[in-house]
Amino acid sequence: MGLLEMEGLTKRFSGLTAVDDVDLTVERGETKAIIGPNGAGKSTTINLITGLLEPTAGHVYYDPPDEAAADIHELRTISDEERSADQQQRLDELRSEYSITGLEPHEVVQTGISKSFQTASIFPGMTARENVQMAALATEHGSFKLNFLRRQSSFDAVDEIATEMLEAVDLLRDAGEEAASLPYGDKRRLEIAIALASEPDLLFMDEPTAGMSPEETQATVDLVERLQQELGLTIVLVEHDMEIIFSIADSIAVLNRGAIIADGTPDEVEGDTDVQEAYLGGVEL
Amino acid sequence: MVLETAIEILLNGLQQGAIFALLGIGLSVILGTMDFLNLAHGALYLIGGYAGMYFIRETSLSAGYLNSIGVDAIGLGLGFAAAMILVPVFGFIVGLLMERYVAEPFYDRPETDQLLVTFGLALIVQEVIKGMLGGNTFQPTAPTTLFGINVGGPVMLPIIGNYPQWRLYLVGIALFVIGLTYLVIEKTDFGLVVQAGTHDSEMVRMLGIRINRSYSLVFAMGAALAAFAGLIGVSFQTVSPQIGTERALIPAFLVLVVGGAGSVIGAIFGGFVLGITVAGMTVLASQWAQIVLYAVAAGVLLFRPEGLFGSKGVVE
Amino acid sequence: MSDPETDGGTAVSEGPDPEPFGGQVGDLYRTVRDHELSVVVGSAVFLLFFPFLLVDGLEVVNGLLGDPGIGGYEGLASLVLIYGIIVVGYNLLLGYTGLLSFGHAAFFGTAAYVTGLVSSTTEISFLGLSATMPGITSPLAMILFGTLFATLLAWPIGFMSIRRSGVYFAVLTLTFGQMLYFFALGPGAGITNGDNGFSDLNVGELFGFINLDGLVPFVGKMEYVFIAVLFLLALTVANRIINSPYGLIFKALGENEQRVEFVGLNVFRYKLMAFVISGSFAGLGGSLFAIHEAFVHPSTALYWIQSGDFVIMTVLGGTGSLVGPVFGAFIFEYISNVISGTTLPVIGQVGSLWRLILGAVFVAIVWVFPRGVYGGLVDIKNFIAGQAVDALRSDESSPPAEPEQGGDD
Repeated sequence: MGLLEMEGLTKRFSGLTAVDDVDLTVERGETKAIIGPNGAGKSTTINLITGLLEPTAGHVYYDPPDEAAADIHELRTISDEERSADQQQRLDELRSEYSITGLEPHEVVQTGISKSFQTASIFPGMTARENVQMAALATEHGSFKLNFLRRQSSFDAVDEIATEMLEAVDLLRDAGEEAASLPYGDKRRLEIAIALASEPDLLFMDEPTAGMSPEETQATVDLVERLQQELGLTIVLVEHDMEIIFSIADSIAVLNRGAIIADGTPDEVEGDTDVQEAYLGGVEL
Repeated sequence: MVLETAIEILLNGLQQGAIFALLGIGLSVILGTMDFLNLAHGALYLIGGYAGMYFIRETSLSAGYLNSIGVDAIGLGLGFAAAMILVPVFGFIVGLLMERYVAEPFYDRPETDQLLVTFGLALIVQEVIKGMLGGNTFQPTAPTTLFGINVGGPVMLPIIGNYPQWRLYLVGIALFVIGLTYLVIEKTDFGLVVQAGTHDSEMVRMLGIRINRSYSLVFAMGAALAAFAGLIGVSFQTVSPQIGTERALIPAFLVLVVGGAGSVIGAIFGGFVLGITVAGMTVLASQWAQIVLYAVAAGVLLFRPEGLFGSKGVVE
Repeated sequence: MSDPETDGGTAVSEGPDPEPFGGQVGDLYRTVRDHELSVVVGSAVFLLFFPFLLVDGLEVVNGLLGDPGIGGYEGLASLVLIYGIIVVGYNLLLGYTGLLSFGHAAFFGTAAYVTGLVSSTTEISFLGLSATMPGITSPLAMILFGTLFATLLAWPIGFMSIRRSGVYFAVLTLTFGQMLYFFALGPGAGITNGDNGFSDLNVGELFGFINLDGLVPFVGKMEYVFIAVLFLLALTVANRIINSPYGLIFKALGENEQRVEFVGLNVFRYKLMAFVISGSFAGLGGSLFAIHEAFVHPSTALYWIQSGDFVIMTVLGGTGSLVGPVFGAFIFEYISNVISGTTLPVIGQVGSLWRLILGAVFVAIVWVFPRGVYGGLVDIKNFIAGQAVDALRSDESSPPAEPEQGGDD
């Protein structure tokens, strides 16, 4: 069953409907791509899930066990009016248990979802190691702790995670360098290391290869594939580069004007006429 | 009598509110258009006040550097009417200079730096004035005739009796200037650019409109308004180096908070709301006047951060 | 230099400094230097000599310059340390976390009043209720009450102010500070004695037998020693905090707030902690201030200018390090109390121009030299040391002999 389930996710900004009644499932262990023309609502959808924005309507469920997921599916198909009181109660219970809608971003991260940003969102004045330690801290001791008198040096577990992640993205030798001084490609990899140090089960990657040279792009793709295998991640990818998508994605969801117009395997999506129309010849598939 | 008090509060509130509104418009437009946080806005009010005194009459000095080198009195004695033109013009020029030499270098720097440098500038202006002219308080400089009309002395009003005539004219003049500003922003091309810039300066830049020139004009206009507010203030309130921060900057920011950044209507509304609040509290429970003022501002900022009319999401 | 284009937050241009030296010697030096004990001991030694340097040391310089009056005086040393405590804590909020508060006088002043009130036996009244003050004269207890009150006050004020960011945060802190100021001056005069100021402080003996007015040989008044010990404590605590996970998190908040949220940390709570901790430090300073001055007045304790002074001191010294702001406090207090009474060349009698001088220096630092005075001194030290190291290195190795490539001229 799906690791992440979106049900009727909607976001309206006074007059503009940016995300329109989106139902989407992300299966455990898969790499799912979300594509769509500019302004289709991809970033907004991700922001809704990660808690940066609050949805106008709809729910997001995370990691429900099979039985609960099945119940949710079933109860969802019955409209609000037709649902009996018991059914409504059951749905409410399930929602309070597994819904991550409306959580603060840091709470979302603590449940196991992480995000790597489109721009390298790092801490420029701190060393690479410190950058990753930040995320490792949160993984180690949760979203807040009153440990302001403890010496940093006694946090071995944090250091371990940091070292592991730096190694995973091949930045260990630069661990002591100031992040701002790293070349852009390294910054992007540091970005990924930070996202990984949260030890997520689900990783959102917002245009990870934007602005990269072909070599860097290939390196990033290799990295993503390797990480998925080594760490067993589920990855949701927002990308414009169709080659990448079709080479690594297990399934593709297509957004246009805030709504899902296609959702399936690469082959299915490739042949979909709605998709072709939405892109209107702008893309080589 | 309740009615008497109410009218008194209303009149005082209009005067105070007019000043607040003028200050708030300038600050709001500058923040809205250029995202620049100007803690020196009060200094412009201060400069306007002292410049007003200088243009209007001869003022005798008893302290400060000028006094120590033998200058007993300064001032051109040109009268209030002349000052009404000269002060905003002077403020405009100061605004241009300030934009070019202080604001512009800081547009791309972190917000905190903008706050710090303008705070320092405000301090410097205050101290220079104090140093040159002395730190003592000067009395208000109300005109007795203006354009031939007798504006001085008391006038008999229904219900409340004698009331200084000038203060009524003052409200009229201020409202006129506020209205003029509103028309400029709403109806002229320049105003459209300001409004567009308030909503999306990136877009305006891309459309090829020379945004930098507009920035200078916007800043200068805000400065002129602040200086004019200083002139008005000088005509019925005391003058001393501290008024820049106490009577201008802090209220201006409170107006900004209440009215919302980037909104001229908001600044006008906010100015009068705060003005009447202060006037009311001063009459009814003067000890609490200031406290209530600040509490209102804090309340608005906390519960309705975009202000009552705010347009941009400048707040989060 | 940190990149000003950060992803949210209100970072100042200069965050804490990265390390200048590499190599084994550098590491050893740093290990010793950073070891908490050596920091404490080193500072303690310096503090013992501080009053001497300030009074007698400067007296010598003063004499050499023809007696313009630049010598220090004993109370000055105490003042510097008091403000030093405040700004060290304040910098955790400004330099590290990147939050600019214009209202810290609220905590300073409240602590001062509480410290004074707790030690007096007057009857205070407000809104018809009245109470007699307990007359607790133990200095430690007085300070404890004062600091505690300030800390408790910082919670709600911080909670409300941090809901907004940037200038709105600053405005909120300012409004709360001003509300307290006007309260103390007006409606609260039944408690604070309003514009007359509060002077009913009774400072008893420390631990029951040490008289703060007593003299300690060479160093000075016992009160100074008391303040110096607390200063050392405050410095140690601040150092601990910086070396704890909090230090890392505060620094990160100042550089990229959104990212901190997205690694799973509760940004709001950490900002609140930074605010409250800095409020505590300001409270400690305020308590000591009350004891030292034996007088508390709203215009020095709670007025926004006091808050502004904290900002100036911190930035002046340099927001990039733990002790930088202490330098700023020193410079500020020295100029304010000593230079203001002197006659300098060109300017003439300084008098109240000192604020102008400070303002100008402040603007200069924000504009072009954000590392502040202390940062500048560190840079000079590093430069000189770097030159020395280079000189040493080039002495050891002989230049490789290179065969001259002859031309065919």
